[in-house]
Formats: sequence, C-alpha cells, structure tokens
Amino acid sequence: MISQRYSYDVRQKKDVGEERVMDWIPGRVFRFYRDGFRSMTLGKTLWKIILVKLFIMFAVLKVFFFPDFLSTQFDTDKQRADHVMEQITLPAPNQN
Amino acid sequence: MNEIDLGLVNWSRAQFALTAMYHWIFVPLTLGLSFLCAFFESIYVKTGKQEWRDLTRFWMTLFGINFAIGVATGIILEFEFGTNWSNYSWMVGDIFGAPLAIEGIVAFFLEATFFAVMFFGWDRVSKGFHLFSTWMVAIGSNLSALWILVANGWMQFPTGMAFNPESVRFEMQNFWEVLFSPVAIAKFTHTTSSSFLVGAMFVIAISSYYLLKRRHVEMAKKSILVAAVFGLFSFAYVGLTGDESAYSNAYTQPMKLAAYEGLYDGERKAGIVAFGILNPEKKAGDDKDAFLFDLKIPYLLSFLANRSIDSFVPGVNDIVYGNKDEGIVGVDEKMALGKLALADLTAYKDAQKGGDTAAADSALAKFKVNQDYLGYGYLNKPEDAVPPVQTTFYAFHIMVFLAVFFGFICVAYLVYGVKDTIEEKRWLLPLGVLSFFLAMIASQSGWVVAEVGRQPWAIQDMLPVGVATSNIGTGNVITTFWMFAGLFTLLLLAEIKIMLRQIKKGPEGE
Repeated sequence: MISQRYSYDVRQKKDVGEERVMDWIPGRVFRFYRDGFRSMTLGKTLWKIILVKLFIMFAVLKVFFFPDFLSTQFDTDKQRADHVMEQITLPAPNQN
Repeated sequence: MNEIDLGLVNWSRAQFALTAMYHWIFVPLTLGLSFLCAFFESIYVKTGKQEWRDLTRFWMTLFGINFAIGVATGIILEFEFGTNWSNYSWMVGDIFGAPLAIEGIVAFFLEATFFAVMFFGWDRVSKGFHLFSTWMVAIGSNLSALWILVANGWMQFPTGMAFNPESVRFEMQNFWEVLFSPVAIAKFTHTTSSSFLVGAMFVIAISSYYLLKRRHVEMAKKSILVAAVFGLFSFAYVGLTGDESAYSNAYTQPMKLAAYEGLYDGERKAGIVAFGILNPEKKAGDDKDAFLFDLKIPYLLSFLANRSIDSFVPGVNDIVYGNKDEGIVGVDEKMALGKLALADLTAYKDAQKGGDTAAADSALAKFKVNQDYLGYGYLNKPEDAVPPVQTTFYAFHIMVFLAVFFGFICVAYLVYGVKDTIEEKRWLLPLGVLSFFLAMIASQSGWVVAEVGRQPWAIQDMLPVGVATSNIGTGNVITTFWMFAGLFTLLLLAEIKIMLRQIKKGPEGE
C-alpha cells in the first residue's frame, strides 16, 4: 500500500515537473513569438509583402514558369547525364 | 545536332543579370547595416542611455524593412539555374550542393531565432542576450553570404574538383580547397567590406537628410560619428581586399584584369589608368589606340598585379594571340587543345553508347590529357575569349573612383563630427545624402566587373555560357524576364515607399 502510494506520488510529481518544463521552454518560446507577432505594427505590412512575394514566387513563378528542366524532362539521373553530355558535345555559337 | 540559340543565351544572361542586380540592391545594405545596428546597440548596452536605445531601434527598423523586402529574392536565381541553365546546374551540382546547403541551414536558424529576438525581444529578454542576438544576426548574415561567394569564387577559379565524364559533373575532391581558394577569400572579404561601406553611407545619407531638415539632430550626429568610423575602417579594408582581389585576378583571370584596365598590349612597368576614355572602335588584334585619352600612374599596375614594378602584365592581345617572349600560350593554341578534348569526349560518349568499353577507356584517357582546355574547344575564334572591355573598364573605374569619394566623405564626416560642427557644413550634407545612391552604384559596378569581366565563361576555362544553357524556347525566357522586371520593380517601389515613410517619421515613429 505504502509502496503503491509512493510510486503514484512520484509519477504525479514527475508529470507536474514535465508540465513545468514544457511551460518553461516551449510555452515561453510560443508566447514570445505570439506576443511578438501581435505587437507588430509596421511588421504586419512587411509580413504581408513577404507572404505575397513568396506566394508569387513559389505558387506562380516556380510552378508555371520555372520547372526544373532536367527533372521534368527525364526520370533518372542517367538520362539527365546523357542529355547534358549530348548538349555539351554540340558545337556552340559565338560566346560574346 | 542542334545549333544553340544565341538569342536564348543572351536573354538568359540578361535575365540572370537583372535578377542578380535587383537582389544585390537589398543584400549589401543588410550586410552593412546589421553590423552598424550591432555597434549602436553595443553603445546603448555600455552607456545605458535611452537615446542610444532609440537610435538603435530606429536603424533596426530600417534594417528590418530592407531585410523583409529583400528576403528570398535570391531564390529566383536558383529557379533560373534549374530552368535556363540546366546544363550548368547539372554539372556543378556536386560542388554547389554543400556550400548552398550550409547557407540554407545557417540562414534558417539565424532568421528563425536571433532575428526574432532582435525584433521581438526588446524588454522581453535581457539586454545582454538581445545584444548577443543582434551580433549573431550581423555575423550570421555575413557568414551566410560566405557560402554564396564561395560558390561564385569557384566559378571564377574552379579548384578542388575533377570532371567526371560518366556523371557529366564536376565532382568535389577537396572541400577545403574550394572554401579557401584565393578567389573565394578575396571575393568574400571584398564583397562584405564593400557592403559595410554601403551600410555606412546609408546611415550618413539619412542622418545628413535629418541635419539638412534640422530634425532629430542629436540622433543624426551620434549616428554619423559611428557610421563615419565604421565607414573609414571599411574604406581601408575594402582597399586592401580590392588589392588582393586584383592580385588574384592577375594569376587566375588575367583577361579580366586586362579588360578592367583597358590594357590591350601587355608591358613591363605597366601603369594603372587613373582616368581614361576608351576608343570605342578598338578591337583585339587591330592597330588602333586603346584610349582616346588616358592618365596613368606609372609602374602601379605591375606592382599591384605582381608585387614588382618591373614585372610584365599581359594585355588582351597577349592572352588572345600568345606571347612567346613572356611564355604566354594564346587562345588559338588552347582552342586546338580544347577541340581535341571535345572530340575525345564525344568519342567517349559514342563508345559508351555503343557499349565499346575499350574504345571508351581509350577516349577517356586521351580526354584527360587536354581536359583543362575543354572550354576553349567551344569557342569559334580566339577573340571569343575577350569579355566586353568597355563595360568592364568603365564599371571598374566608376567603382574605384566612388570608393575614393567615400573615403573622403568618411574623413570629412568624422572630422566635423568630432568637432561637432557637422550641421554647419551645409555644402557637405547634400554630398552625404548623395553618397548612399553612389554607394549602390559602386556596389553594382563591382559585380559588373566580376561577372562581365569573366565572360564568356560560366566556369572559367571549362564551360562557356553558350554551352551552360538549357535547350528551351527563347520566348519563355523573354516572358519571365519582363515578369521579373515588373515584380522586382514593384518590390523596390514598396521598399522605397515604406522606407521613406519610416524615415519621415524618424525615431519617434517607433
């Protein structure tokens, strides 16, 4: 009986300790960022610009205009290497 | 056998230049201003005075605006590698992978942690930890630039690698040789020191504006003192690193050195052109004068290039046509060896395709004899190895002339700042305002020298730009060129508008 109560107490104590640790590190970090974002004034405008910019870059430009040429045209590295080899053994025009 | 479309090559070049130059509007200010913010905050922590805290927060806000608008603009260059420059991208993947991965990791952790503390942490973390975070942002931003510049340095001086015809890749043999190549070190130190100067000129320019308007006078004077000291040290540092950069060019890229000095016929006791107007009709190999007018400082070019005033500095003609007396092999000879290498590489490819292992091994052995000249095999005539001399020459001289001007500005601001008479010098303040715009021109000119001066090479001596491109339609590149021009112009306008609004508000706008 004593032994059971003892082990229960220890587990409970450990859980509370972990909660404190969780509150101490991740919780504080979370609140740090949350409060930081909430208190932004000019930063909100800047974040909007960043998000619009990233959307245009990754969801529009990258997807529709900048596919990775070798990845989309070929399935294996061997095929890509063969293609590049074909390309670099072509005659080139004037370089300037 | 398709001919590579020259229009595609030039549009791809133009697009890369456009995006790189727009990206470079934001980067030097980030690199320079981050250190100035760290200095301002260090003074605040040391003195505990509120005015230094307000001043720090003001400059930090402007730093944040520039950072936010500029962040990720460099990623577009990586998009272009994959789409427009896929041959190049494939061939250098093994070399660039490590530096760019380190850059990405450093940037991510830096931006996610210390950057947040720098902006969100006022009054929420200790003064010491906040200052540490500000310094980490400054150091981290500059270290982040290191890896990009190492990659660029490798393109200018490919070292620590071997070309593997089987994988068709330049494969890294020695990471440290790539990292500590003299070109990479010179490029990193010169680029960052010039960026420090840009940051100093930014602070001087805005502070001068305030003094002209007689607003925030005390803040402006304090900012000027710190920026002038930092600028003066940066000016000295940029001079030393520029010298080192030119010295390494003399050995690794002598054509670039000849181009930015407008030197067609090499000479001993060569002088450096302090001021000159190039003859626009001048071409390699003709008898026309290179300059319509020039003013030279005797012996200095020989000294800077070789640390000896009697030494020979090769000109464009020596490099293109060779100079037996000076032991210089001409491009025509290198082209012959390059064409042998190219023929052996083609034979290797054909033998591999046909499953003839013995023939492939034989072709590979022959290829290895001349592989260092591979790039020259793609040139059609020796003159193809000459970069645009006019652009390189003027960009270099604009950069140097402006750098000297910034030295003058820093000395003048420091002297009058220490005497506390700076606000009375109404003749100097407009020059101070102008200095930031000139600093941006100088910074861009530096990259023009570095990149235009190394043409036609994507990888020095190994891969010309014409062979580095993808086999795609020119129309695609033209379309995206104008899209980027529009997008970046909008971003630039946004930066200018937000920045000006914040400057008008001043430190009270915090």
